[in-house]
Amino acid sequence: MPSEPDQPGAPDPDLVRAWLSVVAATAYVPRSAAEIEDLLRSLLGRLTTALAAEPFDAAAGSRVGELMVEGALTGEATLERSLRVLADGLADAGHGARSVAPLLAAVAAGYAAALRRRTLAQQENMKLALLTAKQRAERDRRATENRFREVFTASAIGIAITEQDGTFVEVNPALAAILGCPADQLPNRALAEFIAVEDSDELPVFGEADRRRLVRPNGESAWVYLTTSLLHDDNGATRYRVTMVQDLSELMLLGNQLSHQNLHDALTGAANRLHFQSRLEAMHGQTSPRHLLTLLCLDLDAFSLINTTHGHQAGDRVLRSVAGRLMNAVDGHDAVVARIGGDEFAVLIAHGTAAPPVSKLVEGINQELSEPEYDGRLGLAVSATIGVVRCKPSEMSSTEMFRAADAALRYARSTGRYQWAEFDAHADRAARKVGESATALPAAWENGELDLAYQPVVRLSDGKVVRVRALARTTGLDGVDSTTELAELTGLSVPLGPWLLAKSTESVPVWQALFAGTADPDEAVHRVHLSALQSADADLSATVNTAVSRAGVAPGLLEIALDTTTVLTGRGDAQDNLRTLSDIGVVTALHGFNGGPREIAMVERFGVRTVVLADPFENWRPDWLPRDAVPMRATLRLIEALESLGTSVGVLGVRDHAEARWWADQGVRTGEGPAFGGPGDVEDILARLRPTAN
Amino acid sequence: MDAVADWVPEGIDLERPSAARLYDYLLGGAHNFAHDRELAERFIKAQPNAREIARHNRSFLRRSVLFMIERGVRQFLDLGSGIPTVGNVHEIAQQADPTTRVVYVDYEEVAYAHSTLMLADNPLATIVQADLTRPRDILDAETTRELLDFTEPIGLLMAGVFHFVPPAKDPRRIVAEYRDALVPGSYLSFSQFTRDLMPAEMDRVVEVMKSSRDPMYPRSHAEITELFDGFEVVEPGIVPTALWQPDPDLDDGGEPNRAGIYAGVGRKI
Repeated sequence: MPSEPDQPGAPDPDLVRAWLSVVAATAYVPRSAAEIEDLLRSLLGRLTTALAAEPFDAAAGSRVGELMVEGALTGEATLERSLRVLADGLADAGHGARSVAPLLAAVAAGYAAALRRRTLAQQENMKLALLTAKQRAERDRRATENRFREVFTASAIGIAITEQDGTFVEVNPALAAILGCPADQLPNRALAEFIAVEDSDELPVFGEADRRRLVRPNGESAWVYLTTSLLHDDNGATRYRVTMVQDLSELMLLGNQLSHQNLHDALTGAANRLHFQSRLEAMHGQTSPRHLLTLLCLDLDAFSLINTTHGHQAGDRVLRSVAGRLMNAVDGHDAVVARIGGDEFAVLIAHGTAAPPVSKLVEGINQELSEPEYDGRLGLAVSATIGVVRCKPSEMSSTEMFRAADAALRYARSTGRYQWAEFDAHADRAARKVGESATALPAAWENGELDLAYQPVVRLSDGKVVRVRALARTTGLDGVDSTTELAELTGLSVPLGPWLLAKSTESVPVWQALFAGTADPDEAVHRVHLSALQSADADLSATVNTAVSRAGVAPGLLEIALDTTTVLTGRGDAQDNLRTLSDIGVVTALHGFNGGPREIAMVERFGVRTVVLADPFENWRPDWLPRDAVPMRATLRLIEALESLGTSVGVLGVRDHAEARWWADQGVRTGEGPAFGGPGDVEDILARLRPTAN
Repeated sequence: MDAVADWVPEGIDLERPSAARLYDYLLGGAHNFAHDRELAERFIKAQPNAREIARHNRSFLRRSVLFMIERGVRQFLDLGSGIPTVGNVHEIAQQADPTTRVVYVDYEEVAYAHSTLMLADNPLATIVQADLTRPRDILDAETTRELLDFTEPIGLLMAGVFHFVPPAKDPRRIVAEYRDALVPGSYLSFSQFTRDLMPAEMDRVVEVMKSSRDPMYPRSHAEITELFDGFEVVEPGIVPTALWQPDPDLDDGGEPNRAGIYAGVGRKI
């Protein structure tokens, strides 16, 4: 007698383990061993329960088959080997083959049905996925096709898609125009029919442009470039040819040229004003509202001077070179360069969300421009005054941008040449940034044609030299004044100022030692006269600070004279400069002093320590003038007034010792001029003064 | 196109078999077509252990995901995820912790479309269609950035996919680019075919796969070790898949060196 099978719900653990090792060897079940074992135990439980049941119910077996599929017990050999293990195990447990065989057959049937359902479900999913993929592909293809269609129709180049034998399949409007034949008359004809007989023997080489002569139906002929390529189908077989036809006829070329001329400045090749405005509008419209645009308007400094001194040819050359350099300066940016007036240029740059600082852009442009342009011996460098506006398209319209850049340019020009200003909607002066770095120097400096000279300054009471005045001197140009004058005219005096200050301050220790015995210990030993532009330069005090700390000298040893008129009219930063220099400890001075009541008031207000008179007697010798002459009386009263403020008075152009004595008698402290020798370099001055000092 | 089943919508090119569908077939799925199955049969002929290898690789992936979950990783980037059959990463991971986020990546259209369908109702799992050899496409994708927080550890999964990356694409740079996007404490799960274990079979497989859209490039133990640059390889190192932290109760009694695939997990230093 076979023994009774195990109680339902308590399946044989050894059989579960055996089944588990079959599953582990045949299927990937994404669960832990314990979880799989639980599953198998419950399945085995169902089977043993079914075997015990009367009458026999095959449905339980088929449910176990289903659960095997649901549980992913679906490896290639899982079912077969599972059934074998189960058959052996159940038989060992005493179940008769009569009941075990149909039960396991039901398991197999249930398994097969479930697997089939799963396969169908997976195929259904797959079908949906494929449809989605297909729809996506179709959408992409349509987009590509639309783009192609647009190019095809809008192109100025004729495009023909032809069969292998050259019969037209499709042509674009441009091709119909080039062939001089309506598009609807082209089907069934071939491109070769339009090619002049002498040329038609051989079709062009693929991929290479080939020059051919077309004969139009009306007998006209035209030169064209043909470029042919092959279109392949998905299998890589050649289906069609694509031929591009470019009209080379004179009319076409002329048209192209005309449109170029309409849009570009003939002299420089840069965009013209009209074209620039439309480019500005277009770029403004196409730029994302969050992106930045920079518009610079440039006005060349003293350009008329180049024209009058060197002729218009030189002027034209400078304009061409400026256009080229501006293009260089913005190379790598999405930018347009235009000549918008005689000596006015404009540059528009489209940035992303991040843009280089405006000061960097301006610096780059200035640097490009300051490189001298050589023509034979003559080196011409230009500088420009620049107005800048930077904004996002959402903040300003294109017209407003142009106006703003122009306003900034006018503002920059008012502060002098070689300046730049950024448009400031609030007209907040403090926010204005004036060009920080004007370090680029024109040709003369680079070639050593410019050097420093020192003019002795004498204490009139005893005729002793107590100070020197530093000057920039150009070899090849006569007279010291013309250097400054030229520099002022061209705007180059602004960069000249820092150079003069920095270089000359280096020799202050020499003068300090030289004048130690003669001058008062706290007196300045070094004087600099700054021009109008230099006086108004926003960077002046910074320049002086740097010069003083580099040379390691006390600021009180420096006397810096600003241009009186510039300070009086409050141009640029002149008044601030006077105040700041005084704060630093520099001996402040004014030169070109005329003595008007407002000038005197200013001396008092700013505590100016020295005043250098402008020539009050228009080149007459004062000691020969009658003492009751009106200018004489006025000058004497002026000296008196300045004395009373504790301000030291100085004069220039002292001719001889008699004149020097006369000025001394009137209370003037210092004098310069031919009486005391002209300017010389450090060695000269040392040679002249050493014997006296000894 | 008699080779294409009649339930396949018209106009879809199934002429070229794909690795994703081949893998699905090897794992017993039905997401495949005649051409894929034909390739799979040739694959099996070249490497009779193919089904086992697929199973072991899948099982390694599961164990490595659970390993990372135990170490606190709650977000996964699964590169070359293929067609989701049973036991996908999000199922394994979200069963352990329902808040786990998973981004799948596959470049194959059908795999992408299928995954999109399967994941439609799962806000914490998604798929990006991209080429894994272009890491920036994946790391910078909006979908990726929406779901994964790169300031927290991420489990980077490259299971059974890197053998499709040719040496010309500079595999070390690719892995490094992913690595550099991860914070320390992130993990890399990596497995790929090698010639070290069954060279003759491997050579035949490479030959078979040349005709598919996914040719294969096996790598040596040393080459795979190099890819773990910047990762600390965890125990037991880079080993045949079946030997990587196996579940002793699921030992199929097979010869582990017949796996054909090396696997390893590394922790970003």
